[in-house]
Amino acid sequence: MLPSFQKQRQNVVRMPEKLTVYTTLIGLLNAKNYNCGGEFVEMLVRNLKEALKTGEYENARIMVRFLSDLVNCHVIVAGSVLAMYDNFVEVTLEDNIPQVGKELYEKKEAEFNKFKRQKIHVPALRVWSADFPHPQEEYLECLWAQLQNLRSNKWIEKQIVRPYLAFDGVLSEALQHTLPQIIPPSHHEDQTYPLPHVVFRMFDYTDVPEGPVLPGSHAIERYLIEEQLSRIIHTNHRERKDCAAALLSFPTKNKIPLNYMIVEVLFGQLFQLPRPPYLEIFYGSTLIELCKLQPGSMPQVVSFLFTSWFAYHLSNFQFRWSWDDWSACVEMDPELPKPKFIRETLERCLRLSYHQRVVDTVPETFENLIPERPQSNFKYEMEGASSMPGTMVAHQLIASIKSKCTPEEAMVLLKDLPNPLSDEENTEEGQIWLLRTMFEVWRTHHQMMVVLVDKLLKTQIVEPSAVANWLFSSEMQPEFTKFYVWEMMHSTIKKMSKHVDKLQTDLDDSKDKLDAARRKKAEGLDLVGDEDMDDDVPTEEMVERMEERLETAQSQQKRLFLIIFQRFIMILTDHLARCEGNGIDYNTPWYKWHHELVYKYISTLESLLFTSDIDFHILEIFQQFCALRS
Amino acid sequence: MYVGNLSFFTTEEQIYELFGKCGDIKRIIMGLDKIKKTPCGFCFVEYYTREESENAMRYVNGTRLDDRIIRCDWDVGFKEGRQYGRG
Repeated sequence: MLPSFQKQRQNVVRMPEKLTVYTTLIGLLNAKNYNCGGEFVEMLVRNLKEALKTGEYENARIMVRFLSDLVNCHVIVAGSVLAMYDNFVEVTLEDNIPQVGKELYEKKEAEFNKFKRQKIHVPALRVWSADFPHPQEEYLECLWAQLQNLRSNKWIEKQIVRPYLAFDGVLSEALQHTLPQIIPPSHHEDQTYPLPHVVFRMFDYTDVPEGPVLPGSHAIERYLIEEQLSRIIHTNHRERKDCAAALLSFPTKNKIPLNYMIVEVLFGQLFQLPRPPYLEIFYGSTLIELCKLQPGSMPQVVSFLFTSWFAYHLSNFQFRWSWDDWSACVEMDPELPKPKFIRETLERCLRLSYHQRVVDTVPETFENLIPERPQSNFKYEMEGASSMPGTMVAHQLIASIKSKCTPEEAMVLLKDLPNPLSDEENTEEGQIWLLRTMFEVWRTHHQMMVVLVDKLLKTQIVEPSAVANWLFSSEMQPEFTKFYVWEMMHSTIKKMSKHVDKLQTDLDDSKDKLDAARRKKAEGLDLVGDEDMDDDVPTEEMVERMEERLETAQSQQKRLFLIIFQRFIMILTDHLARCEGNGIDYNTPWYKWHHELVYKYISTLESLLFTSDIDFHILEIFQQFCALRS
Repeated sequence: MYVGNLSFFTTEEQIYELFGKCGDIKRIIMGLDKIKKTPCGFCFVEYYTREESENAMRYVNGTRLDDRIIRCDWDVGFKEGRQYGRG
């Protein structure tokens, strides 16, 4: 019996939407054979403990739900599930209550009602900047409201399929088991808990003009459906076509406005902060599959949210879109969100197609928002270049590169060029100069700049801090609200973090190897035949050098964050002072945009910089920043 | 990774933009017409890790670029000379 149990358990975790089918089966087995049911419960409890210990919270959650549903199938004594919940209160796994609420309510009303959760408050994860039209709630709070509603409906919900009801006669005869005590492990530093999030809402029932009604935002059905859709996404995220098909064949699809709910769940994940659970392009390509499978019926609202995603989406549908709905943007201040969005979307469209295509697609009235044609601006080939110093060398260099000269030959030519800086080698000033020159040449070709900065960083010709200083410099100020600038900033930060992580892993690996080799030696196992193994074992010197490299990288990383942060604070403080001086409302779109950007990085900053060894002055700036908002 | 069924007008930049959504691109080699040395409808995209190219297989294969449904395939690796199509 046990091997098939094991399989059952795996199925439970993999296909939670089928959960009630399995509980019913276990219920029937238990009614026939009490020991058999007992064995299963025992195994499930063992697995649950293991999952809690190893931090597989999602699996643990489903197993708890399974155990809870076994109460409904008369396998487990209701009181012992309550005892388990009691032990879990701190971990608040209360989303199991919809499953078993009614049963518990009927049997153990008094004890059940005493379950109250301490309020946990989590700000700063919100996607929309306003609570209108849809409020954004912290997820546990929303769940709590949904549960309260469920309670006032006498624990009756319409979403969970309950096959065991058909077997009530058999099941009610069965003997029940008592759960052993399950105590969640105490906190351990290495554990990472699932992050809290806000519940993302795009629609309410008024958005769905016909067909089944969308469950209200505090209806338990809304939660249950969303949860099941998320599970389908989780199971199928590697195959976009299967994923789309599985979502569209949702079991109760005729009773709910399924398309709307799918779109909401997908976008909810896409906009999850600090980052979506899967690659952005997964959401994009899955939405394309959904649109293909359901032409015309996926809600059109999907359109207008995210520039890079949106341009990608347009590119897959021949750039067809209701541009006219947005024609009002043309008249607005280009820094306002709507024209900004259109402009940045067109910038992105440009990258996936070409300039003339974008010009042809968009109505003429949008002319002002169409980006310039991306091209290089090479001063040595412009009119009047002949009088400039260096023109001759530049042309020589081009000719040599075209004839595939060696790097050394190119270097000889380069030595003759006028150098605006002193001969000092690779200073940050020199690096910034290089970036500035790049900007001069490629000003209208944003993507080229993004790629070049990436290459310059990877080849370590420029350092991340130079990029940050350049982006915040006064020449770049007119570009400051363009998305490509932020694309460079984010990718610089990301690259720096990746680099530090890699050095850390390498160092840890080498240390482990060295330790292992030492232990071997100490145990006298270091035999002569082992020579070729020695290639792999790093020397102490090597490890020391790796440590140094890691330290350098870490201090670079710190410096990068400090620069970004300090420059931000300066800019925001300037803005506030200027507005106060001129008597304008400081809360302009410009301010909001930047303020939110800083906010996004606060947690990283806190963990990285605001540790005990930080300089007092910087801590003070940080606190001032936080106070800005209050 | 080999990418086929590209439009002859699709540029390296467009490929970078689309495939960059799946991971860090190491290099792109455009397929060229042997004689005219112009793009001829295929290219190679190289990522740093296998996981990144798996993402491209999953999410880019069969979607549109420049109005054409593009096709991705595993490839043994680029060698000089392979960028030239059958002229």
